[in-house]
Amino acid sequence: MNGLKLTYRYLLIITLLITISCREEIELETATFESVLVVEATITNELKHQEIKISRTSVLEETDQIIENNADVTVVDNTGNSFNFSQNTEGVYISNDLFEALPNVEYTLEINTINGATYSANQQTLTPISQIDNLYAEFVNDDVKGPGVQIFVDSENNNPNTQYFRYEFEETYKIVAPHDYPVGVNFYNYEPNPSLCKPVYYDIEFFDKTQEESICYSSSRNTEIIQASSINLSQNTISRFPIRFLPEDALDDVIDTSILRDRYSIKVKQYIQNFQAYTYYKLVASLGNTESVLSQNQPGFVVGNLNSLTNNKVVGFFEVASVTEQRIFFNFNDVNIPYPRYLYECDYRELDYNDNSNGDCDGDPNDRNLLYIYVTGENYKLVNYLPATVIYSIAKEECVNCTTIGTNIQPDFWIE
Amino acid sequence: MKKITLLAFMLLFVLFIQAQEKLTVSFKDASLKEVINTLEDKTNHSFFYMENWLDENKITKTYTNATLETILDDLLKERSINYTVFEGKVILTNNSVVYTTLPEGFFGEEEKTILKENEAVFYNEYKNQNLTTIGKQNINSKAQEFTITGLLLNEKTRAPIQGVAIIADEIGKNTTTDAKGRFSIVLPIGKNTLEARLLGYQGINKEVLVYGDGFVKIAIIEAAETLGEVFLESTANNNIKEAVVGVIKLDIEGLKTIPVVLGERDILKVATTLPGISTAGEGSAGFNVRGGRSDQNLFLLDDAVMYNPSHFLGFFSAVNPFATGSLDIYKASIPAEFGGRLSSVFDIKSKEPNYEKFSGEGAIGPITGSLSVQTPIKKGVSSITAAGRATYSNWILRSLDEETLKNSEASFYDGLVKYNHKIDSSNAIQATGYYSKDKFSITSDSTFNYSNALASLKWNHTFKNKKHKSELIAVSTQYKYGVDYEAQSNSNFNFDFKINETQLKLNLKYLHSDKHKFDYGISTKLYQVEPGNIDPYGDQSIITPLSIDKEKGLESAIFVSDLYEFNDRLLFNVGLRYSSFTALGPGTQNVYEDGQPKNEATLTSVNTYDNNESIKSYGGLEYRASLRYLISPTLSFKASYNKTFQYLHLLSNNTTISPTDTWKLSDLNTKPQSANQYSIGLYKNFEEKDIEVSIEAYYKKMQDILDYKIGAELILNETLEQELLQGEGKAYGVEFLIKKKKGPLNGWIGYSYSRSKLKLNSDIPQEQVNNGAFFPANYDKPHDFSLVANYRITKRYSVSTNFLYQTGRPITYPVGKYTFAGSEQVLYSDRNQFRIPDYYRLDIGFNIEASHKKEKLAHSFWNISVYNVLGRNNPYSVFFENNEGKIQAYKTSIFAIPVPTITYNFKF
Repeated sequence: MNGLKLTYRYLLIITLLITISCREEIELETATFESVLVVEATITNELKHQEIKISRTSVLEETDQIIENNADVTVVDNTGNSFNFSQNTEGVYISNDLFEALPNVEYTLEINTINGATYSANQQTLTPISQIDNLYAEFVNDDVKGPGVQIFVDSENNNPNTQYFRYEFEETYKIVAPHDYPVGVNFYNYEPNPSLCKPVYYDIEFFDKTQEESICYSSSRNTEIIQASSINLSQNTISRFPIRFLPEDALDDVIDTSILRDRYSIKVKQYIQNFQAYTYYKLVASLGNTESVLSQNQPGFVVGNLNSLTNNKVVGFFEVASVTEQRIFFNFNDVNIPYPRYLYECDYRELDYNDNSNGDCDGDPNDRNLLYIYVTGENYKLVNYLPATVIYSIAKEECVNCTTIGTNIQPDFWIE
Repeated sequence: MKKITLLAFMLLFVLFIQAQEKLTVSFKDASLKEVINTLEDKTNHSFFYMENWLDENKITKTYTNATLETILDDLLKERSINYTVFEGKVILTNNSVVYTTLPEGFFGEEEKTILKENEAVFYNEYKNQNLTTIGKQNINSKAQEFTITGLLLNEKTRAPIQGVAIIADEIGKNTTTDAKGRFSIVLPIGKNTLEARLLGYQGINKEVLVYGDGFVKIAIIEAAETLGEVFLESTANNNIKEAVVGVIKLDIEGLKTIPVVLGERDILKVATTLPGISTAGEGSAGFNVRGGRSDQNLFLLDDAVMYNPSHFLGFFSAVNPFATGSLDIYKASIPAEFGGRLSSVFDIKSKEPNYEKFSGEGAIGPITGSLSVQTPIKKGVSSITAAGRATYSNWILRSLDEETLKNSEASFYDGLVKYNHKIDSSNAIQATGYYSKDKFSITSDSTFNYSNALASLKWNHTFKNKKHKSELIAVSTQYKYGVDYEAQSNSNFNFDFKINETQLKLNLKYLHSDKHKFDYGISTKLYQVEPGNIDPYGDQSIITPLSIDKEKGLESAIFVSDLYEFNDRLLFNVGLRYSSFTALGPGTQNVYEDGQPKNEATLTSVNTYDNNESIKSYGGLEYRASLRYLISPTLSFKASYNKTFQYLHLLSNNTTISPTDTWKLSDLNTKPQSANQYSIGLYKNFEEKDIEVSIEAYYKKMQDILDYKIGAELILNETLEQELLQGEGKAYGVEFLIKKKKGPLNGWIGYSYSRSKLKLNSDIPQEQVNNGAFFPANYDKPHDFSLVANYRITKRYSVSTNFLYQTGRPITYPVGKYTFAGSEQVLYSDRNQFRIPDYYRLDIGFNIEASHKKEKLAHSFWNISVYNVLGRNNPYSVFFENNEGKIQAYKTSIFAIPVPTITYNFKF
C-alpha cells in the first residue's frame, strides 16, 4: 500500500511538472556574438559642439560599453558644409566646430571605422521647431504608481508637423549632509589582544577637513526612452505629459521624494522627431520592456536609417531634430509635501573610548574596540568628539561626507 | 428455421432410403415452389426447405416415368440446393450435403491428413446475413481450390462497375473488375472474405463460403462521404488507387498499442509522426502541415469546426480516443467541399453507431479516466453514442501537502453525445453534440481556461432514382478562452476571447455514369468574433475595462467536382470551388493612405458601418485537381494542384508561453490568405510482405500570410492592423513513408525534408523583416524522422516504440547588448536566425491483453509506457526578459525526464 502511495505521489509530481516547472531561468550566454556598430546621432538646432555616440555591441555577459575609437565621423550638408568630429576623453565624438542644424538643409552622416567599414545615413532635415510651454511639479496620487510628486510637461504647437516628441531630462538635487563636523579622525597601529577578553590598543590622529563635505549636488538622467505623440489628438498639444515621477516613499534602491529635501532642479529637453525616428525609438524601447502576462512582443533586429556600404550590420539612428529645453527649480514645500527624510538611514553612535575592559566577555561590548571596527571597517565618520569625556560620536559616511554621493561643486546653472 | 436446423442435425445419424416410385409430370412456366407443391401432391412426400432458397426462375419441363430422384437431380442441378429423401420426406438443404457418415475425427480419432477432407458445414455455423455460399458441395470432390467468377454492381442502379479492387485478404490475392463489372479469382475451399473497394463507394467485406466453382454477385453502395471510414488493416491498395495525393487515414483501433504520454491514446499525436505534419514544439497546440501556419488547418469533428483540437497546451487531443472513429487528413488534394483553410483538413469522425447491441470501452490512466458507451434505442433503427473523459488532477493537486501547488489548476474534460436514426431506407439523420473545457495555471498568478462547444446535425437522403444523394448539414461552433490574473497587486484582471461560427451546407452527389461521378453543393457560414475584453478583477484592481470591437463575417461557397475515370489506368478528380467572404458591420475601420505602410501617420479617416453593412468583400476560384495513373496494379503515380483561400487568421505570438492566440477575420485592412500547392507522388505496394512505400514531393506558394512587425502587441490592440504584416510564403519538401500494416512486426518509418520560408518586404525599413528576404518560418524543421514500431510477441504481449527526431525550430536570439538613449538594449538576431537544439525522443510501451476467454464480461488490456526514455531535455523555447534593466534568459522544456504511465483499457 505504501508503495502504491509512493507511485501515486510520483505521478502527481509529473502532473505538476507540466503546470509548474515549464519555465526556468538559464545562464545568460551569447550563442553567437555579433559585434555591431551602434550609432546614436542627434544633431540639433542648438549652436554647440554637436555630439555623436558611437559604440559597439558587447556580449550579454559583459557589463561595460565598448566605445568605437578613432572613427572618422563627418556630417555633411547639401550647402557644401562639412563638419568633422573628434573623440573627447569619454569617447564621445564632438564636432570640432560649433554648428547648428538649419531648417531646409539636408544633412548626411558618414562614418569610417578604423577597420575599414563605411557607414552612412540617408539625408535628414531639421524637424519643426517647438517650445515647452510649461514644466511643473505637482503632488499627485497616481492610480498605478501611488502617491508622489509628478513632473509634467505642456507643449502647445501650431505647426501640424510637430507630432512626435522625445524627451530627455537631467535632474540635479542639492544634498545637505545631516551631520557636519570640520575634523576627521584616523585610527592605526591596532593591537588586537590574542585573548578576546583583553583590552585593545590603537593610535588616534585627528585632522582638519580640507574640502566641503556638507553641501553637495547630484545629477542623473533618464534611463528610459520617453516619447509622446499628438497624432491621435485633435490638437497638436502635449498637455500634462508625465515626464518624471518621484514616489513618496519608495523601497530601497529607488529614488523617491527624498531628493526634494533640500532643493531640486530638472531640465527637460524636448526633441521633435519625424515619424521614422519616433518609430525606431519606440521599437527599441518596447523590446526592452518587461513583458505582460498576456503577450510577449515579437523580438527581432530593429532596422535604423544607417546603411553600411561595406555590408556591415549597423544599429542606431541619425536624426536632425529641433530641440527646446526648460529648467525649473523647486523645493519640497512648493509641492506641499512634508519635509522628506534624508536619502539614507543615518546610523549614529556614541562610543566611549575609555570602555576597554574585559573585551566583549562580560556582556557589555567593548566600546573602544567597536569604535575601531566601525571607523575602519564600516567607514563611519566622526561627527562629534568631546575630549573631556573621550566620547566619539560617529555616523555613516554618506550622512557626514556628501562627496561620496555627489559633487561639492555647485553647478553653474544652480539658483538658490 | 429452427425446425429445419434440428432436422438437419438429426439426419446426420440416419441412413437415407431411396424412393423408387415413378412419375410423369409436366410444368409450364411454373416456379420452383409450384413445382415442389405439385411433387408433394403426386408423391405424398413432404418437402422441407426455406422459401428464400427458392428462386423465381420459371420452369417448363416434362418428366416421363421418372423417379423423384431423377426429377430432383434435374431440377436442382443448376441450383445450389441439395436434397435428401428420407421416410416419405424430402429435405432440401442449401449447398450442404447431408452427410450420411460422420466427418473423420468426429469422435476424436486421429485425423487422417493424407488429403484434407471437405469439412461438413452446418447451416448455423454462419448465420451472418452477409454470408454467400458459392458452388454446390460435392461429396466426391477433393479439390481444394475453386474458381469464383463474379459480378460487381452498384446496389442502387444495378449497373456493373469497372475498376473495383477485389481483395481476398487472407490469402493475399486480388483482382479488379473489368468493363462489364466481372472478375474471376481462385479461392480455397471454405470461408473466405472478399473485399470490394473503390473510391467513392463504401467498401464492403463479403464473406463467401466456397464449395466449388461458382458465381457471386456483389453490390456496393456509393459512399455518403467521398472517403468513408477506412481501417488501417483494410486499406489494401487504396493508397495506390485513389486519385488523392497527400492523404492520411488513421483508425483509432490501430493505434492502441502505440506508446503514449500519460496514458492517453491520441490520434492527433500519432498523426504528427507521419511525414508532413508537425507541431512547433512538444506541448504546442498548433499543427503545421506541409510548411503551413498552425491556423491553416481545418479541424472537423462530425462536420463541425473545432478551433482548439487540443487539451492542456497540446498534450492531449481534445477528442476522447474512445469516441473517435477515424481521422482523414488531407494535406494536398483537399476535396472541393472543404474550404476556408490553406493547408489541410483534419476530418475526424466520431465512432460509428452500434445499432445492434449495447457496447462500450474505456480506460483508466494516471491523469484521466474515459468511457464511451453505445446502445441501440430501437434495434437497427436508432442508436446513441455517449463518451466522456475527465482528469482527476485537480483533486490530486488539492490533496497535496505542498502549499505552493495547492492553488494550481490543471484539469480538463470533454464529452460527446451522438444520435443516429435511420428513418427509412433513403433517409437518415445524425446529431452530434460536443463540449470540452480546459482550465490550468501556467504561472502561480494566472489561470487559463478555454472551451470548445460543437453541435452538428446531418440529414442524409437518397433520391428515388438512386443516382442522386444529398446531405444537409447544419453545424455551429463556439470557441472561447479566458485568462484570470490574480497576483498580489492592483493589476488583477479577467480577459476573454470568443468566436462563434454557424454553417449550413448542402452536399449533393450525382452518379452520372461509370465514368463520371459528381459531387457538388453550397455552403454558407457566419462568423462572430469578440476579439478581446478585459475587466478589472477585485476591488483593488485599477485595470481599465476595455473591449475591442466585435467582428462579423459571412463566408459562402459553391463547389463541384467530378471523379472522371478516363480509362483503367487514368483517373481524374477535378474540382472547382468558388468562395467569397464579406466582412460585415457594425464596426469601424481605419482607412490608411493607399500604398503606404499602415501607421498612425498614414491614418486618413475612420469609417463607421451599420449592422450587417458590407465592409469589404473578397472571393475567388479555388482549383482542386488531381490525377492517378496506374503504372501497374501495385504501382501508381499521382499529381495534384490545389488552390485555397483563407479568410480567418490566427494571431499567434509563438514567442510566448501563453496560449493567448486570437482569431481575426479579414477586413478592410487584412486581406485573405491564399495558397497554391503542387504535389506529385509515387506509391508502391509489396503485397506479399504487406509493405506500402510512398514518396511525395510538394511545392506550396502562399500569399498574404499574416505576420507581425517587430515589437507587435497582438492582444487588446485597437489598431491591430498597424502591427500586422502580410507577406509571401513558400514551402517545399519531400516526404517518404514505409508502412508495414500486418504481421507480428508492424509500424511505419516516415522521413521528410521540408522547408518553410516567409518573406516580409516593405518600402520602409521598419516594416521589413530580415531586409525583405526569405527567412525560415517559426515552424521550419527541415529534418523530421519518425519510427513507430509494434512487435507482437504472443497473442497477449506486445511491445511498441516511437522514436522521433526533428531539427530544432528557429528562434530569434539575442546576439549582444548595447547602450542606446541612456539605457541598455538587447540586440536581437535577424528573425529566426538561430535554432533551438534538435529534438529527439524515444518512447517504449508494453501491452498486455487480458486472457482471451470468450465469455468474459469485458475485454481488457494494460498499457505500460515510458515517455522520453532517454530523459532528453528537449527545449521548447528560449526567451528573454528585461527585468529592471537586467536581461534574464529563460527556457521552457516539457517532460525533461522519462515519464512512466500505466493505463487500464477495457471494452465490453
